[in-house]
Amino acid sequence: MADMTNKMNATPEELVTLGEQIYFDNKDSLEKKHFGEFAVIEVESKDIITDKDKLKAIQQAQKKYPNRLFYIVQIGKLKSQFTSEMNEVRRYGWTI
Amino acid sequence: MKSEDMVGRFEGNTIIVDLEIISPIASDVKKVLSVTLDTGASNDLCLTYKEAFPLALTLVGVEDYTIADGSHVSFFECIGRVKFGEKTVGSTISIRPSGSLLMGIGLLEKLGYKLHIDFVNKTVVFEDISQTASKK
Repeated sequence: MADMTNKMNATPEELVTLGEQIYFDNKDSLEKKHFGEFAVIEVESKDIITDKDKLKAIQQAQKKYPNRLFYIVQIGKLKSQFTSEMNEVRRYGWTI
Repeated sequence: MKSEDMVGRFEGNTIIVDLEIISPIASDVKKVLSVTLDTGASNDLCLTYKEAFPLALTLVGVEDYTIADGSHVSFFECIGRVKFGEKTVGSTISIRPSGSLLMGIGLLEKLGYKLHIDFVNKTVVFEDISQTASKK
């Protein structure tokens, strides 16, 4: 597995794994305050930018962290985090 | 039907809409695509790599979606601009290797249209309610 300590060079799969981890670490607080909004997560800083409008949230994140790729999710939509045992059933759009 | 309203068309039982997709970085890079209206999709737009790459969309990351069977799928997420009728809006665009080109309800909301579908007479009208609202 690639070295995930350098998160700026993370593969798309690692970006999903790291983003999900940050999302689930903050899930209760996010769902309480921002349910239904979009979370745009910069995985290096673990900064989470939220907005009702996904495009606005992305644009805010781009302004703050230029040239980065983000993990994006609608708050409240992900019910359970994938564990390493479940990775074989994880689905990526780029491999379907 | 008002002059600012738009129409879609039926192909079988599928509703098709012609959208112009415009690069966010070069306004002369654009293409009209026939996309399927998916009222079950909450996102804006979903394109294939084949259509998306020549349009120079900006890749912004990956997004996790919950699809109809309840499972999670991650897609690459881009941003671009979409023109429908006389309106142009910024849009998020999910891209994937293959599949149908899909327009979700998120884009209809941004564009400000109310959808009227007549399944008997096979007509689809997008009523411009943003115009109506601004006239009031």
